Amino acid sequence: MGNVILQLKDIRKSFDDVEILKGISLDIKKGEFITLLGSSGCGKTTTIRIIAGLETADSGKVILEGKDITDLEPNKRDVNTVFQNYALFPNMNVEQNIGYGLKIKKYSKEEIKKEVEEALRLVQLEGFEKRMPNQLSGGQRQRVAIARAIVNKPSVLLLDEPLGALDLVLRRQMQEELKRIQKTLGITFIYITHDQEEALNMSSRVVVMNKGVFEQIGTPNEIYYNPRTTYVANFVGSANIYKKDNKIYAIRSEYVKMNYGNLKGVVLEKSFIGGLSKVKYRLEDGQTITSSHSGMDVDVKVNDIINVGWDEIHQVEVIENEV
Amino acid sequence: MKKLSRGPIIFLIILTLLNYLPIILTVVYSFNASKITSVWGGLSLTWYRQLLNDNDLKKSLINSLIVAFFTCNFAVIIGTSAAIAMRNTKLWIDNVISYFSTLPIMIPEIILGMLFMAIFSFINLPFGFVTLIIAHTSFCIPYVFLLVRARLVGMDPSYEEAAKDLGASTFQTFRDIIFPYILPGILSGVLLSFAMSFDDVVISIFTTGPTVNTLAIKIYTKMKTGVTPEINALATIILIITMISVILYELVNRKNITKI
Amino acid sequence: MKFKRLYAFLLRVPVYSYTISFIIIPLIYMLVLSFLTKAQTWGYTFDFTLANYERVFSSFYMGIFIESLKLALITTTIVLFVGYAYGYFMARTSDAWKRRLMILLMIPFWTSGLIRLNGWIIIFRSNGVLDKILMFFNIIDKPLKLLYSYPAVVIGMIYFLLPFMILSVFSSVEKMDWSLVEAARDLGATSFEAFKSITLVQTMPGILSGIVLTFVPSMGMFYVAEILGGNKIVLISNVISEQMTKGRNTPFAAALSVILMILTSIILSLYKKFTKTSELEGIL
Repeated sequence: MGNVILQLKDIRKSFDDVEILKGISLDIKKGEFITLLGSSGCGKTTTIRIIAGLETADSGKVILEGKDITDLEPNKRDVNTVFQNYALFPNMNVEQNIGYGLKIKKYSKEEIKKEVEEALRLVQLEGFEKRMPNQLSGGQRQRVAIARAIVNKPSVLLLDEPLGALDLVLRRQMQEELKRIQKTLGITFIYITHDQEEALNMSSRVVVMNKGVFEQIGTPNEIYYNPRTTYVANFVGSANIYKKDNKIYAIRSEYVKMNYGNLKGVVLEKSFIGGLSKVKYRLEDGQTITSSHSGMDVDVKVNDIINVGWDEIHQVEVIENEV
Repeated sequence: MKKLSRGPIIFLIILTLLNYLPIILTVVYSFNASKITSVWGGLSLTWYRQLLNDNDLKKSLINSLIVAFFTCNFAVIIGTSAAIAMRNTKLWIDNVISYFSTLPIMIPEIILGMLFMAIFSFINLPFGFVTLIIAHTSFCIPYVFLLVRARLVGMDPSYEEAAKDLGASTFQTFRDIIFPYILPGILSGVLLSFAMSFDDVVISIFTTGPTVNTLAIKIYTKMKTGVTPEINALATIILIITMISVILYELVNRKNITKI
Repeated sequence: MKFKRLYAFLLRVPVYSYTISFIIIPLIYMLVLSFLTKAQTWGYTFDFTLANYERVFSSFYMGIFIESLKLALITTTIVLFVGYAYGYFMARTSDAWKRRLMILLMIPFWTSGLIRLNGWIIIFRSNGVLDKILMFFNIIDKPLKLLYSYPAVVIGMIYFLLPFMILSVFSSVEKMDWSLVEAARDLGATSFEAFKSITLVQTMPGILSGIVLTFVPSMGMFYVAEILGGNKIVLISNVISEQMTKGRNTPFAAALSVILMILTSIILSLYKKFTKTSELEGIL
């Protein structure tokens, strides 16, 4: 694997006797867009802080481009971070913020000016050089934080829920921009989010994290259609969990059809969410199943008893680890 | 909820007036031609003229400025370095030291005065500038220490992390990020220390030498013997200086608040 | 990592050396001194004695202690009520007025205390401003002679210490969560009940801090008593000062200081116990 840029080897970390990371390992290839997906407290932020050097692992190794950087100070690592709260220096203007890393690396004034201009163009903030951070909107601060990190051309860019504070419309827009920036620069991105939609939309690979372990690593497709565990099935696109003959299966709700197969179910409730109608049934054995259909309404009423079913190729056997 | 009714407004006005009454009277009487304070003898600048010719007073003013200058420098160096060093400390010894270093503003001044007078005569340190500066520094350190520490506590740790992340060394992080951030605290500390040292009477009485008089001591001894109208004029001048400093300080502070 | 340790060491040098040599050692010295014997003529001898403390606890000096505490208590009580009202109302004005009132408060606060005392002398002195006004309105027919009296000292103390209380209360009212008061009102509490059960509780740290900041210094402000009280009012701080300068009885002054120090420590530790912090609110 010549093009592996970053390796995590069995990293463990505890805070006050609570184990946050329980031995995680991962190989990341050059130019990948990797997303760490998980709910808060799952250890995703700790993982990137260890990569950045802001936290030291109790055991395990971080290897960047073949070099062991486990014990290297953060300022000696060719890795940059976009912080969750942006952390723009309040005493510096946009230009000084973005140029800071280059200034430390002793670039000449002209070079810094040129690079900063280019970075600002990339994040579409031309002309904002002299603004102070407190004169910027949330979205603009976000762009400055990204520019400040990418201007250093790090081999790996870490992004800690960078879009968390933005509203939905801005979020969508920034997602597309981040994808574009990543393609333009070819830098490896390690992206943290708790939003499964964002993870599936942006990444080349998704790492689903739960309680300090990597539950599943795969392309968005694999994660979505072939969840390995009930946790992944639930967390990513809330699949149906169906138990039969001591086996557990995950079935995406869009594969559940009405008036199909020979399972009988009572309609419990109907709801309409974002262009999809969802119907929840209780089957005869007491398990509940949800089906989703495009369109505003479906032709059933609550308490109707109908047949529901799915094709066997759409049921995925999963490991139970979360009820 | 936000609007005050008439009662509280009148209360605030009356108290503010009472607060300024002694000051206003001092200013008014500084222009009183009569030597007896209780008699109004018409407008005059006699006392200001007398002030200008009082070489003793001038000398004590210079002494006060010298002491205040050194005091606020030492206090800023000691207080700031302490606040930075003891940030996030878990060492018990740091807690002991920071407790004792802030003690001077917690205990009655008279104890400090007594303490310094006793120890300086014990070690045979000649009373004068050195003893005054050492003693004044003691009650200025806590202000600087607490002000700078408050800034540091309020500082988001991610600023430092971001600087490190962008390649800055510990020293560079301090110079470029931490220092500019705590600077308003340091400046407030300088101003406060200067004012405190300049004003101090109690501790100065115990630590000054026979040849060094500060302005505050000079005023104190004059006042004890009864008011000389000269003091009204002097007070007026000091008042104007203070007023300008406070307004400047507020302006500096407000600018910094909007900046962060 | 090595550099970090070096920085950590170097940064501690100034405060450690200053605090140890000029605070801790003098405190120990004061304690030792309080057990030594005054020499016949000048200074003291290294003979252990409890005589200084016996003298401190004699009825004469205990009386002075009680007198000092009484004055501090009167001052603090008045300052508490007036200062609370002022700080509370101030925090309820608009932001622009808050800033203006703050500046108005800070100018006298930063002005030399002596200079402000000077103004009170003008007011209080016999046939001074106050007497003139009162006589003009025929409220009194001869001068009150307030200067060098107990009320003059109390007023002087209040005048000095009020800003501390105001600032403490103001900063705690500023931090208050007003939605709690609104919730209490919504649940049917009268404005007085809401004040008592919500506002007062929430601003307690400011009140306690203000009390400490008023009570402790008021025990040591001997020059207010000296200038506005003449020699009529003798406080414990006056005695210490006398013993140090004129009496030349350093061991006895040390013993008095030790007791005053213990008294202060008790107040501070009570404060710490109630507020779970040693930080005083609003002093800076």
